[in-house]
Amino acid sequence: MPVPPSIETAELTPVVFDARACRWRRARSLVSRLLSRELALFLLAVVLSATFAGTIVPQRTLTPPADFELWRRDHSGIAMIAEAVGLTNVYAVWWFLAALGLLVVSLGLCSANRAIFLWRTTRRGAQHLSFDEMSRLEHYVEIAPPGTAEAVTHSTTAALRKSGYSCRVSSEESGWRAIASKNSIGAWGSVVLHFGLLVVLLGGFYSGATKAAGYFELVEGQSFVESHDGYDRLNEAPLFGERHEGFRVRLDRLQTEFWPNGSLRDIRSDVSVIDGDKGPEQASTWVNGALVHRGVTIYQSRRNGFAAVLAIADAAGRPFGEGTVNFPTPAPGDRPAFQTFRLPQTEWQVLADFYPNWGEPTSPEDWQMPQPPRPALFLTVRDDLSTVYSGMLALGDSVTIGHVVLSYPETRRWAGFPVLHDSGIGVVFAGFALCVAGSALSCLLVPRRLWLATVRDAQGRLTLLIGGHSAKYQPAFGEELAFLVDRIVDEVEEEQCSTPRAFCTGLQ
Amino acid sequence: MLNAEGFLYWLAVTIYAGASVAYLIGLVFRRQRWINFATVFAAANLVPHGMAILLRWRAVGHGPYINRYEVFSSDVWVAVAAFVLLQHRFPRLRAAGAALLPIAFLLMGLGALSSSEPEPLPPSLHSYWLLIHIAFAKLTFAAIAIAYALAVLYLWKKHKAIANENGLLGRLPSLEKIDDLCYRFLGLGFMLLAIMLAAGSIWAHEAWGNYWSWDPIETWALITWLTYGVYLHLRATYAWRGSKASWFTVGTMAVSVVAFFGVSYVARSLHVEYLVK
Repeated sequence: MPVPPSIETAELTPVVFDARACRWRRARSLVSRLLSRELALFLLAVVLSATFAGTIVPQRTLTPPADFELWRRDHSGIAMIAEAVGLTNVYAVWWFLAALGLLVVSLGLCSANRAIFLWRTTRRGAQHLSFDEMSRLEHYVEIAPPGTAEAVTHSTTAALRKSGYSCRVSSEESGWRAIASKNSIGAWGSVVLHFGLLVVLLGGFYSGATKAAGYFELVEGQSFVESHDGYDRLNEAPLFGERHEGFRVRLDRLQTEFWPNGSLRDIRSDVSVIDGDKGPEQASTWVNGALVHRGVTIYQSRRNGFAAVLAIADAAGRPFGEGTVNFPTPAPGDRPAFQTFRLPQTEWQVLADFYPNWGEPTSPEDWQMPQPPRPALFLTVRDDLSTVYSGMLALGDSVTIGHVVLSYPETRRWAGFPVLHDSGIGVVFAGFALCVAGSALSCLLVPRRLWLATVRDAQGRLTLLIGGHSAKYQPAFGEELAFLVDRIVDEVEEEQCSTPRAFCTGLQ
Repeated sequence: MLNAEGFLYWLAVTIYAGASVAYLIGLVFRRQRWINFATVFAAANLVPHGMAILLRWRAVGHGPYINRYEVFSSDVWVAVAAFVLLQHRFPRLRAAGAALLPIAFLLMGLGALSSSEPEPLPPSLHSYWLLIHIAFAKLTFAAIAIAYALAVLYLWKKHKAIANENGLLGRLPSLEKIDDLCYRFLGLGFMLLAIMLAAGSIWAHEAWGNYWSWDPIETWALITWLTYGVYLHLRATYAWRGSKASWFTVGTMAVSVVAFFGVSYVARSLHVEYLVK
């Protein structure tokens, strides 16, 4: 049965922005279009389709370069079209971002429109309906309970309150009337949810435009300076604005724990934070326990391993300097760790294998010790044309390669640290909270309203009219109404202390 | 797989298979006794299945959420337990098990085909947010599985309805009631999935500094949530009811199965790192 338009219900499309009142025709047209459901559904379809395509077509930023090139080679035709349309970087392509932006605007206007409508409706309060309007509601029943009018109205109010309804009662010449409401706050669920989505999207845009994400590796005893040049890798968003804080972080000690099969169980770095004139502050960072200092979050990466400290001198023994080579711990198996680097003071490229226990098969335990048992490097030094040197360099030894002397005095440990500056993250998480709250309100608290009135027929018999509307879940509301009718009859019986002879008609 | 755990697991798979067959016989030949029999066995099967999960938990030292074997098994347990509670409240909806139990059996079978080698917990999985994320993922799957089962029941009853049917069809609730319940469970799934997505994002931010990385499984979870949202909009705004809504629910179940279980087979993902060896 259609709901009469005079009834305020949460399901009617509110129109608060009166387009006709807007002076300029183009603005009027634009506002109407932005408020339209069709636009919102179209934008949602674009976002959904693009998101789906992003999981089918390999994404440049998410796929290893070698795998991406292989896909391009094997699907050259599709790859060409996909790249032309932007499907290989769909989450950053202009039309996807434009659709998201337009969705933000549409979502914002629709949410505001509905919020204003609900606010005005709430302030105005529910209005009584005529008997004709009541009879045309989806749920309508007439009952003729025994008892005086006073007993009936008192019992009805008691029954409604026991069922969780709040009542507003008025007595008129024509009889008693009441409006009972339940879960009214649930009507705001949809608004809160959509507003939450808006906050998430806006927070995401702000975060994407202003954050910086970097990565650095530290050997025990080394320090990192939080500056543009301090990172091994740094990605600054366009509006980041060089907001580096300049403090230092020194890695004092790396602690790792391993499972019996050799996989990493836990990793933790004890660090000192040196900020300005203040003395070093001891702190720690571990996975799921990032270090936060002055808005900069320093995470603990799983990447770690042994670092070979190498010293370079000339043939006469005059030192050029010292540096470290970080070897990532390999996956469990009998193989060395591998790294390449350019040898300073030369044009040579070095390919280095690190053996934690030279002379013995490598076991998982060798990588888990604070210090490797018998560390050694197997070096292959190459220039553009040929191999200059190939041979072992054990801990404590030196080797002469052309005009330089390379020595290996010490082994330490290193770890990787991703870093994040993101002032938008709080906004995004606030949006999540609103989305969850909104969806919970919408799902669990369904607004329901009853209009009640008593009438007397020509013979003076009292009839109680009950009309009801629920925002959703109509069959369940019908059952609740039937239960409520039984409850009202029971209340009247208790009030009257007599055998019930209730007469119930018209339950729809 | 340990001996006792393996025995209990395969016992559970066998009973799910038997219950599925009994449901289908009951539905096709309209025998309420077969449906009651299947429901009792599905409910009783929660015990050996639950014991298998607990034995596994004790043996590996962490909950059932690391590899496919554990994930599929625990998801099925939660979905079947939710259905048993539903049919306890609404006994006339037992026939919906004919849609749910075959899915449970298939997922258990797929889990059995996957490696059951215990995986140690990596550092990033030591987080309370992870537990919230996983718990709500299982509850979401249970909600959508029940919505799907009710949608299938609706379509079956609508297709087979004969006036004044006194047998099995007559004992089912009205089409309107089944449709309404399906709507409620899908709405519940929407809310639970929102919590799952939020908890997962917060955990990812705490662990890696990246609350959203368009990871394939993350993205498919978002697609699933948006699909539920489209359903709710079609209901509320365009008054979709009955068969249209039920077919859409069947579609959302397909999307959910792809998101929860299928993407891990084909896509490289942070989630897959822990699901596949």
